[in-house]
Amino acid sequence: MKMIHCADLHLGSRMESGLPAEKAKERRLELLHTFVRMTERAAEDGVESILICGDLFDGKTVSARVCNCVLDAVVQHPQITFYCLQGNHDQGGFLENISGLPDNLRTFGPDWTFYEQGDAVIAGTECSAENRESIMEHLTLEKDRINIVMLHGMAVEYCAKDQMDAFSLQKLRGKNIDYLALGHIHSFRMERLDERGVWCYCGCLEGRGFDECGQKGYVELEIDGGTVISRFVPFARRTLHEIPVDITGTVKQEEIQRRIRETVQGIPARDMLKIRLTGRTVPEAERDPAWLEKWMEEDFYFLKIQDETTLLIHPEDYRYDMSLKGEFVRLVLNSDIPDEEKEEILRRGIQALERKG
Amino acid sequence: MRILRLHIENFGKLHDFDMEFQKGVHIFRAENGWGKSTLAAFIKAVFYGLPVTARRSLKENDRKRCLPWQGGVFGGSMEFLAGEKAYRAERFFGRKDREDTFALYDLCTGLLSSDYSGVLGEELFHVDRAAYERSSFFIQQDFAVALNDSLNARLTHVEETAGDMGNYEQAMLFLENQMKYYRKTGNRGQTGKLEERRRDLRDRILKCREQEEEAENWKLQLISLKQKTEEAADRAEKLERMLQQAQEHQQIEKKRAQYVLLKNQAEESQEELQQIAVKLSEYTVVPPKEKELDKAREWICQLGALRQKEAEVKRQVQDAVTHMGNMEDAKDSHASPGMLYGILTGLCVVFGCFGVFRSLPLVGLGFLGMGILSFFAGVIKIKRFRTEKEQLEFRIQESRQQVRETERVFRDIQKKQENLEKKISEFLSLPKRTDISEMERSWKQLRRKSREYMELKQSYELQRKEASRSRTLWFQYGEGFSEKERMLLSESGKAMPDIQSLKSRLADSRAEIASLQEEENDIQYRISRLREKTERLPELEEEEAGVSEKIREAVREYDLLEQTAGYLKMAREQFSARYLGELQSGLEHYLGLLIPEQEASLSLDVALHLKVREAGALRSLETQSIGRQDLFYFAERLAILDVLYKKEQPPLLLDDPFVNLDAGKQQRAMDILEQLSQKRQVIYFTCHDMVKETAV
Repeated sequence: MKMIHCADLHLGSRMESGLPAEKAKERRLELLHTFVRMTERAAEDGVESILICGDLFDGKTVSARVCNCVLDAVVQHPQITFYCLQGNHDQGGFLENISGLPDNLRTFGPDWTFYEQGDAVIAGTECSAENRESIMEHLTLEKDRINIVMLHGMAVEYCAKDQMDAFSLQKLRGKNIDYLALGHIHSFRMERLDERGVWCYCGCLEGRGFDECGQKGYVELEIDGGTVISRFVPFARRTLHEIPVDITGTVKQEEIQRRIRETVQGIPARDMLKIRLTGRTVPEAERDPAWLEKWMEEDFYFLKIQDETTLLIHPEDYRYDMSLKGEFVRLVLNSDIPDEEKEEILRRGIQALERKG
Repeated sequence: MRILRLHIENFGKLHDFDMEFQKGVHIFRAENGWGKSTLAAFIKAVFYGLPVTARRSLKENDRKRCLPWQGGVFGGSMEFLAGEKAYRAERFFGRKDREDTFALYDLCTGLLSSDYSGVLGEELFHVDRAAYERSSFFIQQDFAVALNDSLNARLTHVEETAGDMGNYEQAMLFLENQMKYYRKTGNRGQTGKLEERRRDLRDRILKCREQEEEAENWKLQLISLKQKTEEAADRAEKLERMLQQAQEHQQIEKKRAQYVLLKNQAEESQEELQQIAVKLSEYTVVPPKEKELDKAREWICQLGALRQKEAEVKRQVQDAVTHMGNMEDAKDSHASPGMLYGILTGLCVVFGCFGVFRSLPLVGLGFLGMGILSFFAGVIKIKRFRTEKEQLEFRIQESRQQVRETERVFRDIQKKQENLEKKISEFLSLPKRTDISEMERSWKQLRRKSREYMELKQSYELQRKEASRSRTLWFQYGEGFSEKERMLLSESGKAMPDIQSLKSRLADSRAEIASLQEEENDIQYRISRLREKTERLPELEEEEAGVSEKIREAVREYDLLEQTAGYLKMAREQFSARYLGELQSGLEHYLGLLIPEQEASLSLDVALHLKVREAGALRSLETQSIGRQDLFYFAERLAILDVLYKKEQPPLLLDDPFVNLDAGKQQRAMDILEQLSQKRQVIYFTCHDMVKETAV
């Protein structure tokens, strides 16, 4: 028996990657399409159930188009049972808007809900600040069944009072859990829960911002002979990369561009990149991220360049510099303004002073 | 600080070169192209190293320019006094700065010293390479360039020390222009435009949010409405249940009535059966059956018939006896017709013969024919007579037989009659020889009784069946009840609401549900419309975030530019304030030494621009002769040296700076150098004989 564990799709959400409006719109559709593609793949692979561990949507307000598309994907695959847990982002949104749930869409509530799927028992609850302390105590699972538990939140060893979205792993140990399917963290992560089971964040299906870089996808579970075998399946349409490029020693834009091209070699053109220019540059160095972005915009679906270089300027070089520049540098360096601002002011001041004509 | 000696392994064209420096002004004369500038560059390189630069121009790239012509180790050493100690600095260079080496030895101990590091010049003189170049390093060709270029550029090293002072206004203008790009008066500029765009976006987002909120409110109303609908549905369900119960109750009541009716019917049937049974029990003797009565009736009839037959047979016997007597009489009296027909035939034959013989043949033949006929008739008649006689005798015999038979029958009848009478008398309980009519009356009475009995019995049977059927129906009807019906049946007398009223209330409730559902649909439609309107919210938020980011960047950029301009302005003021006074007095001091005969009034501005006060006005140095300009700039430079170097005085390196001066002024300049050499080492390179050579 095959299952898919996915979470944190945030369908219909705004894009955080700084995409232009048209691409952001396209990307939102891509997120939706990836979900539909996943259901189609699931049908082709003979997957019996899809576990959605929260945050299928991004807010209470779900657009009719997104809502209908998701419902259609569910209805079009009656052979697949969809287990939909609401997360902290989509509580009360989607399900409240549906007048009648499809037969193959199963939901959960604030108390433990148990469903039988072949040899497995799928249990789930929607954790909240009110129930997160007590709910784990009430989980009882049979030893001789395959037990899959669905939760959405931050898995921690011990739950602090101010961690409203967290639950304690400690309380889930020894509960006969074979696979703890989790949602909330947007990157794949799997660790052992106890001698019997594992806990796993499948991550999101598509990255939305450059804080969600790397491979994204779902986890495929295969229950065979009383054991659960899981594997991460990369499935995102596009991968987001954040790549630091050290441009120390470069002065001209062409040199910077060459340095970037060397670093990003091998990254597919369909991916989205954020290049962080690092290193130390002389004040005279040509650094124009906007110009570089424009220059390389055809190379990737989306490219963003962020200048994080520091100014190659040694205070001691200017300590005895008998010039306005020296005075300026000393004055700025001795000021109370933050270092980052100091560099920016120094760069601008020196460039202004050294401008010809 | 004083340089004692130096040794060059390889540096530019110089190879294995040693030189010792004397105290005071050390004048070194050599012809053009000897390598004086390379030597000066070596001294500078020992103090400051060789800068790494990508510049291709040899003039701007010392490392490239000073590469040993003949190869070999690139660099050398220099011994110097600093403070109270003597050192030897060894510096060797590679093609790249990381290949450079520096070592400092204490000449007293011969050991490595850590008193100074690779940035020896800065640590000794507290000025950087550029400041050193522009103050203590008077290279001849630089002067030449300056002289051939412009007056301002000639002041190079002083001006360039504060050279960027000349760029101050331009830098400020550049910064202000950049600031204006972001913010102009009247909130124009890029920031204003972006803020305007953001306001518009925020308005639209706000509207979307309001619509979202409206949708949420509608959703709350929808939830409340759904709750109401559910309540109404509950009420309707309750009413339906009540109606169902009432209808069930009605059915039960009907059933109960039917049950009671059947029960009563069964009981009545049973009672009637009992009554009939009582009536039947009144019959101590069971009346004969119809069949028996019929038989008795038959007997009576038979008896009546027998009695009639008896009389008839009796009469027949008498008649037969009479008839037999008559027949016997007739037999006895009956004569044979033969004689008659014989006579007749004989007569006819006689007459025939007579006729024939008397010529009446026809008559005779007729008579003969008649005679024949009569004969035959007589024969027939005799034959018939005999037959009749036989028949009569037979009939007599028969009558006798019949009489006997009739007598026997009579006896039989009498016997049968007796039997019948016996049976009938026994049956009807009548005495023998009772009259038939009496028998008939008794029989009729008996039959009436019998019929009544039979009717009763029949009635009893029917009633029994009816009672049984009624009872069966009653029981079966009772057994057909469900447990619930039995329970309901047992709850007698429970008051139930009126079905019509319930139906009416149910209809009202359903109408209310329909109305609420219609309202729900209306709200759903409103919500979906509002949702459609808020669908662009993520896009607007994204754009607003983008614009906000741009505004933040613009504001930050503006702020940075503003701060930069502020710091630049502050730097200029501080810079000016720090050096200007000292420079001014130093300048006046050196001018007094150089041109004692003429009181020149010079003005130095914050940009270190020199102006001559002549005829009550400040005039540009361009108005002065080149020689005077050189003097003024020399004085300014010396003033700057005094200001720059407070502690360790770097050696003053001069490369023929006084070529434009007349002999007197040149001498005064040399005198000043002599004076200066009291407190700092002066190394003077020249290719002219006019200056006294002191060492090679």
